Amino acid sequence: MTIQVENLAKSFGPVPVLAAVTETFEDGSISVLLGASGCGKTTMLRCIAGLERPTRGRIAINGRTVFSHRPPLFVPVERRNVAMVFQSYAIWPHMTVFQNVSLPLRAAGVDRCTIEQKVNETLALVGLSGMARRSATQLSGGQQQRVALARCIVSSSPVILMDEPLSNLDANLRIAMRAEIRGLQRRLAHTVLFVTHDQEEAMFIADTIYLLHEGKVLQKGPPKEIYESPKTRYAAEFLGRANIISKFERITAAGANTIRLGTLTVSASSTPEEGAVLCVRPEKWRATAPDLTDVLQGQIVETRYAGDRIEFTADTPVGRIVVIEISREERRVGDRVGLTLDACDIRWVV
Amino acid sequence: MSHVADTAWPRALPQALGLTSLGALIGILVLAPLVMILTRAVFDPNAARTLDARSLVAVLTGWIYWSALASTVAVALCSALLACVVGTALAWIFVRTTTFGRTVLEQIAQLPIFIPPFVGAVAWALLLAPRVGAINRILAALGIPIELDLYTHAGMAWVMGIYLAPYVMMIVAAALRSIDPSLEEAAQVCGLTKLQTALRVTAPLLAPAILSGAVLAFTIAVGLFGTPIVLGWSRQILLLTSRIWIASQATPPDYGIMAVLSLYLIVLSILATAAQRSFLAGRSYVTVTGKGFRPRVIELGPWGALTFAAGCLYVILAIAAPLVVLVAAALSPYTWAGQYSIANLRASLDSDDVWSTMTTSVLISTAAATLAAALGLAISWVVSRTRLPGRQLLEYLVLLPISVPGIAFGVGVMLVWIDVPFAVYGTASIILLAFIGRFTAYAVRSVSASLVQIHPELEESARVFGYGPVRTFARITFPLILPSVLASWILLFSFFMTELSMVILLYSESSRMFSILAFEVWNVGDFSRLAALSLLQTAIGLTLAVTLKVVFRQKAL
Repeated sequence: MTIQVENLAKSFGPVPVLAAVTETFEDGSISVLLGASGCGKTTMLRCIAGLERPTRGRIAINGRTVFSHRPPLFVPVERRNVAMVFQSYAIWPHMTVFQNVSLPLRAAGVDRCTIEQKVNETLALVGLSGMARRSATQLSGGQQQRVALARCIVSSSPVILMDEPLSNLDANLRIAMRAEIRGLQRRLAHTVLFVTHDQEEAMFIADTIYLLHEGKVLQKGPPKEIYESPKTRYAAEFLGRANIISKFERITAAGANTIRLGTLTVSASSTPEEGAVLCVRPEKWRATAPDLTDVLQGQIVETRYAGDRIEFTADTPVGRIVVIEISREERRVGDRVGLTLDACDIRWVV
Repeated sequence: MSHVADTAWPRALPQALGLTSLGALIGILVLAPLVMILTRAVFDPNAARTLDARSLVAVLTGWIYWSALASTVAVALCSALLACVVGTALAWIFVRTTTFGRTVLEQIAQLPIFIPPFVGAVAWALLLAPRVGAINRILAALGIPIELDLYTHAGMAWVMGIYLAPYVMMIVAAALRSIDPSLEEAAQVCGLTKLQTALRVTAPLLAPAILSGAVLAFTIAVGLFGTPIVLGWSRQILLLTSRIWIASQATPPDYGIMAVLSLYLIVLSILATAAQRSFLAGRSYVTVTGKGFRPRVIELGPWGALTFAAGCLYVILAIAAPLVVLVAAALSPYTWAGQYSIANLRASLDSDDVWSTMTTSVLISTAAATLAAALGLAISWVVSRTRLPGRQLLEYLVLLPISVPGIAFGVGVMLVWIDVPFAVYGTASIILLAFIGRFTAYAVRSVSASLVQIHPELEESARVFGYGPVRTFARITFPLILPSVLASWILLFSFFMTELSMVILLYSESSRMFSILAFEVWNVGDFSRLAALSLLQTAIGLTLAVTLKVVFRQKAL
């Protein structure tokens, strides 16, 4: 079950929210739409669900066109055979857990016996057996989340859309539910489209991350690829933390490229695009003694102790650099440090 | 990113048709009466399209109309002032003090809203009429040489004021509950005394609520018919509403005068609202949110007895004393006969007239409440769940009659249907049309408030999982808003059962409602039978009010 969008555009009045997006979300995998609020990720999800009408373009689910601008076609949401987990969970408060979970089956006209059996199976699957008669309003946030998941699973729709499903849970439960959603998806092989603004959540849960910015997909790929090789400054800074360095010298001599950062010289393998700057992740730096040659000299201006790691910010000739260390060496404000790094950890971003 | 489902376009045609027919309906029910008042005031209906200032000139040069206007403004202002003082004091006592029984007292103090104004006036006439009023008789029996006279401007303002106080009380109490207590705590931390805090922080924050309570009370007072006619008739203290009724009794009825006087009423309520707007301009207190806070409660100590007494005094004046005097009068064969018997009450109520008018009232009220609730539901849904253009205008129009006094609206409805070639005027249907046009606004407000509470995702998720729009409405939306629909039905039904100011203009032999019967009995001066009928009306009103409070836990308005 792939989901395809072609030139998908949506604007609210004069405000464009999606700008001609063309993507294919792969069958049986978790695709995460990641971006800051207002980037168009929720709008894209709602367009696919049929809750918003796109301004232009085409949407196909498993090869079946559910929306197209020309010729005009709009399959209403209830006939798109998708399932969805909403940010508020959208558990119907006037129904029991059983009634909530069985609604997709009742809507499809399934007979009562089958409904009973399927709902109970599904409730067991999400860890809610014995809760069927419970009123939906008596559930905790985590349980409501499970009811919302059960409702998707029972609908036997191969496509599940998730709109920030974990953002209303507290931190620990959120981490547990991430793993649970991923586990369920692996077992049941649904095609999941997952919207979030939380980069850590995106990296944990995604097979492929689609980073959205201003209504466009800025970069896509597996989490590792996006983190390790951001193509743009925005991607580098949105996903994880990045030191962006624009004060550098590029030296081309006898066919070998090198980059000089203050007194540190690193060889550069690739030729950058026009206007590209350097991006180095904080954990890629190694701190050494300050008086060595061929290191970037710096002075610590701020330190942060985060338990499992130490972070410090150093003033260097190329600007402020943030460094993350796992070592137990104590850092104090005012200390001088030397910084060095491997050539392969330098990225060019635009 | 709007959360409202974009359902506008796939079913554009049926939706457009629906909106158009809703618009046409509101046009006929709401807009036409208001337009007719305006046109009839300055146009001659017989000579088409010629300006005719006769009625306008008659009103502007007639001393009786200036006197009616002055009396109306004076009585309405005084009663609004009284309602403000009493209502604000009660709100403060019930919300901010530890007065014994304040929760129960607050509930009881809201009930006078459900006592018809006509009944309140009748009861107070029995209590305070010159010479024959119960209190005056007691004073005379005790040898106290004071005679209180209710049949004066002050008397009218008194009765109106105590029955309007609950409206102010409810608005101010809600405001008191929504003020963040930390605002007052901050003032005290900054060194202000309790009194300074009350004057410099609490009072200014409350001012908008008190003012809107005052404006509401003034608007209602201006349009009241039952109270001023009962209390003013014997000395011919006639307010605008009484003059409208008198003009309607002329043969042929003087429609021009009625239209001009209705315009007066509308202008008065517009002026009140405008005054409120200009006062509030630039004073938006965002700190007073819709959120409920636990208010700061003042420990009164020995003063608690005083506030308890004040609360009880209000309940006695507005409910207990009127009820007692009505029961006493109803049990007597004639006023103050000194003999009480249940047989008298039974005799008063056991008549064909009572039965037939009661049946008419129940039928008309049921039909009107059902239609108004259904129309209100449809409009609320269109306004909050679609993106159809023009929906805001629709909502604005339907809410418009809230600030139009009932009797003026009744005049408008009368003028709309009087010259149409089919029989509406003179049948029960004109009362239905007037009720629906004037009161659908209340259903819209109540249902809209509860629709806003329902997260659109609850409906969207039902759509995602396979329910179409109709099933989503029937199985998800409707069950969730049902309590507010039922509550507004009961509220409307209770209004309609005792409505007098519109019905008095629109009824005919086939549509005599119970309130008309009571009015006729008052007209012939049979106070004992009148008391019995008034008791019945009060019983209906209070029963419905208690149903609303207990079953739906709903505020009265």
